[in-house]
Amino acid sequence: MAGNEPRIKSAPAPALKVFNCPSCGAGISLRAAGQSVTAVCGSCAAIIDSSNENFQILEKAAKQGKRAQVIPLGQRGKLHGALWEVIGYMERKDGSGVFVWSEYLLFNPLKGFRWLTEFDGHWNYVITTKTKPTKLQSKEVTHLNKSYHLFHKGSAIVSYVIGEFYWQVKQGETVEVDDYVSPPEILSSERSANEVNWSLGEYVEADTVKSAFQIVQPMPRQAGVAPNQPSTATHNIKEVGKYWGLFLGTIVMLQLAFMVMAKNQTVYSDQFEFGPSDIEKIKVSPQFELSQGTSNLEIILSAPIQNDWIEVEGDLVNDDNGETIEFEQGVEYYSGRDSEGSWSEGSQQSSRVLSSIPGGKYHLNLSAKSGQYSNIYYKLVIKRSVITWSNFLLALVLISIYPLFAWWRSRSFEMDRWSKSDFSPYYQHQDEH
Amino acid sequence: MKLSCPACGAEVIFKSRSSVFGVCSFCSSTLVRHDLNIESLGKMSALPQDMSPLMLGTTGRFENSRFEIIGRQRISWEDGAWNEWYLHFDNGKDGWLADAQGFYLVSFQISDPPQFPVLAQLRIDSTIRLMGNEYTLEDIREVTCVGSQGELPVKSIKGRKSTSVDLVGENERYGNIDYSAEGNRLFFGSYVDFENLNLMNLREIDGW
Repeated sequence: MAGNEPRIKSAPAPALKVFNCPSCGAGISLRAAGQSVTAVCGSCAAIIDSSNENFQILEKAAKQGKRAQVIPLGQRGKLHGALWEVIGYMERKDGSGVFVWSEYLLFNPLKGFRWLTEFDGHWNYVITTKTKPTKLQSKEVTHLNKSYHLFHKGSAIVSYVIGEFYWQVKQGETVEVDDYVSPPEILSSERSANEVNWSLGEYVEADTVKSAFQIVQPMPRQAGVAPNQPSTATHNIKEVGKYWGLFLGTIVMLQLAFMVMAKNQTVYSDQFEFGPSDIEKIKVSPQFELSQGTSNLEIILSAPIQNDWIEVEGDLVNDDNGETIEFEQGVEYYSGRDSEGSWSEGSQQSSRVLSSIPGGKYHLNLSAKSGQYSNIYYKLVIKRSVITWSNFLLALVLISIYPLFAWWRSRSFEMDRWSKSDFSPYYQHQDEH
Repeated sequence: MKLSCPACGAEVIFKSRSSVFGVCSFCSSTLVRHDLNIESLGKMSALPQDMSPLMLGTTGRFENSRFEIIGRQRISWEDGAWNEWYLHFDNGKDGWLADAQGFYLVSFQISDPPQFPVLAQLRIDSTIRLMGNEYTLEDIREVTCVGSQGELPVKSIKGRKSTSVDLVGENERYGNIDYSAEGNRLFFGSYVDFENLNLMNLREIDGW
């Protein structure tokens, strides 16, 4: 170092640089001296070149702002782990002038500048990025290995400024903006005649901004879905999908275990003759034994009927304690031939499963009814511990209801988001070429 | 190297052998070193107040090498100004740390640069090949040194003008060509996060 050592440690540098407005004489405080190059006088709204000591007036009075500036200049807040001071505020509008949004310039002497933007009550924390997107396709860019989908193309025109800025800001200054989204991020390029600047924004909850900057004014009313607003539904859908997969795996495993353990054992089988005189007559089966423990019981009825039906009413009686389980089981089968060929309807066999039948000694009391008064045979087979799918299917439906709902919600959120874009993957626009 | 200020007699120390220019911290005389002699070119006016957290004596690390800030150039252009801090590394190397709008860029001068492209033929957004790599011309601007501090490897007298050409390459490679009457210089470097520079002995700023 050129100089005498030890150097006298300098006193802390002042945080503010004060000069007088060359237009109205009021004092103007620079909060980012040496970094900001434009300052707007707080009392007469003249825009002043603050890049050197000459303090030239760039523009006389600025127009009035159209929106509510909810964070005053000089206000500090902690966001993303650092303390920021609001040093500038500007409003910009789109080419049509219909949409106007707010941009707060934040400054920290160690970290430089950030932006906090607000439109329709939705906030973004924005940082200029020096890393340019590497791969450019017509509707997609890749930035730091992440891809962003084109959402909006349009212009941004400065309509109001107050405070200080790190470039020569002028009212009416126009840039062409391309916005690409990958919620919660938004990647934007701003193109002017001389340069292209890229910035990366991240969606910030309004409540986070409110508490960070201790905003006392009412926050701008939130409307619609922001281009890069993270959908709680979208976020949820991944979680839900994960759990759905987990549950599905579990019930599949349970079903497999159940299938392996099923004995499928025939405990009773008999054939009966049934004629007109047998109506209302009860037949009693011999006693049979069901193995210990609780398991299901499948009752299979078959009858070689043609254009007929038969219905069997049965009582499964536990001989140990007299408990009776009633069941009804029928078959019907019709067939024939018509102009379209042969047809058939129904089946000559049917079955049902009674669940949770305790082990023990049982017998059956059976009676039958039929449509025709001729002698027919029917066969009844009873199997213990059979494979069933009904519980599995029921569980599958139950675990899928919420995921389906979540998927639907996520999809409608995304459709809402993209309804404002000309580049929606959900809608094809006629005017798009 | 210890020398005496020809203007006030105070001791002047040059930490880097590459330094040819200094500002006496005692009397603000602008000094040019000719080997063992130094010549005073008059006084350097005080630098405009700024909010940079860096100062002479700030130390840091870059690519596992410790450095100390030993000089500073304040550079202005049409639309603003930034600081170029001259770094002296413990391993003897010298480099630059640019601090502009909160972005920090460390770069090193290329001692054996190739043939420089003709300045008049350069266009923004065009690409050029330099030392085996392709670069996009980001901007071309007339810059002026508005003041300096400490010791520097160039005669950074106030009002020194040059043309600065910024180049951006793949993988965040950054380049700069400084075209000036005294000779053209080429720098290569990269942007570094403030946190990753491990800076110590920073300037205190009231209220921050």
